[in-house]
Amino acid sequence: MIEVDRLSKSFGGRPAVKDVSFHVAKGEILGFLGPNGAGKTTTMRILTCYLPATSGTARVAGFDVFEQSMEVRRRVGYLPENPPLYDEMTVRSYLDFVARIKGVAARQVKARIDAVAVKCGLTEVLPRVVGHLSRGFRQRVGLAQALINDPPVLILDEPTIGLDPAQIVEIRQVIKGLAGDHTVIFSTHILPEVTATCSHVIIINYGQAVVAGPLSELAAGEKGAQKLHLQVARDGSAVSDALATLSGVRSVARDGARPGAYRLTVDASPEQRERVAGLVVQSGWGLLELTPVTPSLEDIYLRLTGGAGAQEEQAA
Amino acid sequence: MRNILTIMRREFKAYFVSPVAYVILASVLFILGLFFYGMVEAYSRYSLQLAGNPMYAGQINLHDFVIRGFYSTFGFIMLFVAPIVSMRVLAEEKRQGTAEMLLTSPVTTSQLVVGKYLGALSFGLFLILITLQYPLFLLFMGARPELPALLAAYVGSVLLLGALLAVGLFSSSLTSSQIVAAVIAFVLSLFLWVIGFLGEIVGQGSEYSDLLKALSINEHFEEFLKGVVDTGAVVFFLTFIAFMLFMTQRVVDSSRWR
Repeated sequence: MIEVDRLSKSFGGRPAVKDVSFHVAKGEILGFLGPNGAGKTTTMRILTCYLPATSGTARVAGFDVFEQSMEVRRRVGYLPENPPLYDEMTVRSYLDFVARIKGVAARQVKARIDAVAVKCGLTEVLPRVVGHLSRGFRQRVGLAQALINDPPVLILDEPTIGLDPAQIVEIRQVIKGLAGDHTVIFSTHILPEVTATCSHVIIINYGQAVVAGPLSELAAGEKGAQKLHLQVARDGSAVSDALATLSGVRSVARDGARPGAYRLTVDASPEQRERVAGLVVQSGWGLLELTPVTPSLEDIYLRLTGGAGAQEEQAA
Repeated sequence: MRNILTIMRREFKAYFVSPVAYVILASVLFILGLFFYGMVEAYSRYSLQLAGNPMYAGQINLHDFVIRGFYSTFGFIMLFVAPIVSMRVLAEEKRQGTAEMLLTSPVTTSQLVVGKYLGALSFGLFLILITLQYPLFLLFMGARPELPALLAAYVGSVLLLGALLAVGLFSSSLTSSQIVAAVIAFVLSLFLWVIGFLGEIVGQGSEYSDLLKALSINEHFEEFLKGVVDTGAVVFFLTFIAFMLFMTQRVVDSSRWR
């Protein structure tokens, strides 16, 4: 549905996006991650035909964003970082205006407004003036605006910014509900949001895509290896030595300052876990806990975006 | 076409939800009212004085004395009002981020620019429509303004305001600050207005003089006030407006490739 090929964009010689390639299949939700200023918004603006790329191509729904801009624009709903609202209009008249310029047939306008109002929880604020709405409602009006012509592709730039936790959950539900019929790209730097909503992730840093793929693959991390958290009751200097010499164990490190807590990297197999458990029990250290650790998205993100320093600080 | 009308309608309505429209209407009507009163009062005083003098009685007429001066004043006021009317149209879209929505909607830049222009122009026409009360007042008072000449003055006023608003639209496309847009529009309009005076100074009959006068919106506007609908002047205004809209379209579009 969305194919981005070696996309680059620079502003007056300063590169904002460098050689980014990824693709999103129909019905997928792609989480677009990266620190502030990484090029997320720029990439989205290229995909929505707001900015042209310096080099590379992007196709949305089979149409080139530069050559067939109108066709792309008809098929993309876009929520910019700041919801594009006219403060002086009422929510209903605003949505009416957007529906019309997005080519919704005149007699369907009202039905579409009511439909997106229900979807975004705006029904009771339709007669109110946009300028008087809270941040959360403004964000929802922005989302409603993107959905108004029921576009097959949605590009949402930080859709949950400024919302309270309950609203964030609601918006996430809305976005999740779009999957299947719609293809969604949304950017965020709130990581749990991605875990909660997306099927695929792309992490971008300094304008370059660092990693892209399904969330499940990313979580696996290093190929064929697995991280284990081990907690023994009776700690001793022999413990780490004995563990390190066990076959299949790649590394042993103390996990924090707690006595008896270790972090092991081992070959990923159930037998390996069994061997570790067996050793601990035979040696009489008192096995309290042996848990496989799935690296959180935070770990992956920090590792990839060069936030390693930050990661160590957190660990310490 | 539908896109243009949708944008135009929103633009027109937007004037009336902010106090700006009312402030503009009220102040324009206040100033025009003062001038109108002064001119009509002076006209009736003179006519009374000259009524007994057959030598001068024929030389004073309503059009020259009231209508011409009145619409000349109107044009001068528009020089200040048009930048304020048009400053918002594109600058505000950029400031509040709605430009991003408009430019990613299936609307061409030309449709956007024309729609915006027609929105501002319809507010201008609304303003001009209200000024009809002055000649209507004269009619009700039993005076007989020369209707064809009056019509010419109106054609001129519409074209003048149209040109000034086109300058304003162009200025508004250059910046995201309304104030800056208004200042640019005013400076440009003023320049195009006084360029005719410069023509006078350079010297009657010289080629530069003719050129400068031909570029002046004021010179062309004055033609209409004499009661002459000169095709050349009409063409001048229409081309000028088209040129300004074209420039605006280029500026708005350039935000895509810059």
